[in-house]
Amino acid sequence: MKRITDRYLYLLIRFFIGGLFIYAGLGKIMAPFEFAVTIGSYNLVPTRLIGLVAATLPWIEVLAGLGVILGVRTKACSLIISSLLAVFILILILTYLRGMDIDCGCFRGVDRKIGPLVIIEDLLMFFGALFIYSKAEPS
Amino acid sequence: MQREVIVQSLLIVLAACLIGAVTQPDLILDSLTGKLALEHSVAAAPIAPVINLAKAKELFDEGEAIFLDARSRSAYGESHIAGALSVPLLDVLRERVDLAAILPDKDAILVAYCSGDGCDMAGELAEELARQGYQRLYVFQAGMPAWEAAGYPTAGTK
Repeated sequence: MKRITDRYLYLLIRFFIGGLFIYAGLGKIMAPFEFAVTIGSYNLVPTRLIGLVAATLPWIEVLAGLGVILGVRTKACSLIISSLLAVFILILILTYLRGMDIDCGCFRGVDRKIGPLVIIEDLLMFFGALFIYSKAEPS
Repeated sequence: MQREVIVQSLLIVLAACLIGAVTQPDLILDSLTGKLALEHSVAAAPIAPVINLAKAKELFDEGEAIFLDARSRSAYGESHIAGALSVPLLDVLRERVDLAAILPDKDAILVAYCSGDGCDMAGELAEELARQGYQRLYVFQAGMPAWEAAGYPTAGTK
């Protein structure tokens, strides 16, 4: 019984986190310049590298999200997602501590300022991604 | 086995980067050549970082920053951040305000604000100040409504 519950939980978290990453990535792919402006507002990436990050990061999110949902290279994809989330959390905390009042740019069209709530959400997703990593069979 | 997972992850990231590079070559090239910064104002160092209420209060408490109220003189007269100067954006743009006279120190820490999130005047004032050579600029975007709601020191007739 426990094994069945575990399996459903595993599937649920995979679909939830994978879906969120695909949604987040597609939104950025559809509006690359908007995403580039958001990256610039964080004041962390050198100006000349902003385009590179804006062009590639959304595709990493989409491919990793797809892998997690479809169960293709699930362990590798969940490793990518947890690594991304670890970096995002670090950047969010740093930006919040610097007192910057900017949109997180997490999802297109969702206007959310950086704050404790956004950081907690990312932390929860990070633990979700680690859970997927721990349960996934290497392929 | 772990090594295999790491290699797979790197390959997926590489594939994603290739797709990104193939689908958005203009974005990458414009950025690398500096065109993105010039034409779309995409830059790592914005003219004036937007700060939140906590940072604005911190600067206020330190006592070194000068707060600039970009709203009209009548709005300023009713209520403004204690110690703030009235620098209405429209007056600045029409050159009715002699910035060099009221802000002689170009290295002063300046915090522009107006009436909150729907208001662009503080950002525009900061841009104008940057054009005139002021370098240590901040925009307190949440502005007067957030300052008043927090019960922080204000002055005025209201």
